[in-house]
Amino acid sequence: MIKRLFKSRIVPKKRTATTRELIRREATVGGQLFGPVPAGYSRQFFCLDKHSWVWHERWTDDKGQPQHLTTRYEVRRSGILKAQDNQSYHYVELDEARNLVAAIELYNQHIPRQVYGLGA
Amino acid sequence: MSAISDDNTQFNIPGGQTGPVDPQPENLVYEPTPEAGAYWTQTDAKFLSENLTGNDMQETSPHDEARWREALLSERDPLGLEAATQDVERRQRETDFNERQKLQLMQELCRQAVVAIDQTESSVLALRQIHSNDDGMVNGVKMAA
Repeated sequence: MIKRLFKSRIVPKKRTATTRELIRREATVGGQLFGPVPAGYSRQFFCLDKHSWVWHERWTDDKGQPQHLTTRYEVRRSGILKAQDNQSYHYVELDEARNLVAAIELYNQHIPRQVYGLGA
Repeated sequence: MSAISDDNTQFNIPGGQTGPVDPQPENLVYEPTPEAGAYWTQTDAKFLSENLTGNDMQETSPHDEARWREALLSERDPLGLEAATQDVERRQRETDFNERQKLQLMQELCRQAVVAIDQTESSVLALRQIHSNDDGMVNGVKMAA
């Protein structure tokens, strides 16, 4: 019994998820940071690694065809680069940079609480 | 159809053959057109020069042209070149100022972005690493900061 209690105190929460699963959970919560998603849309926003951030949307068009758009941001000291659907990168304009910074800050506030239960 | 080709190097010989322009008029199938100046003769020139009105002549007289030049030169910036140059320079200064401001704002946003991702690294990415059971590998790629 003592051994079990001791063990439960020093051993961190059981690692039951893969990194991919954790990113998927973060992406779902991240997609809700920007307000309600329109009906028929699915939105994900997540941090792939420190410098790479991904915005992904899926929806069904007027003809019933599934559509998707992946936007990848690379945060550098020299600027913020953006590429959509594996097209070439280009620097974002002021408004988009401002929105991304706000989104990252929101991500840092919400993900630890909602995905990892920190401070809950 | 004109007998001479557009670039004046060929002409049509009666019978359908073509060859270099031959100065012999009898070899040309000549179709005169007003554009080619076919109707412009010395007689026409004489007629026009004799029938120009007094006003027509005055407008192009050397005397009036000299007066016109003098009037232009006496004005400061008669063609508005100086004003136009100043306008361009002013616009350039405004553009430069706006661009500099934009650049400064972008640099500030990048600085904020770097602070934000540093925070992500120490919070979300650290938590992700603690909770994952696969050493941060996704598709064989290490998802490290």
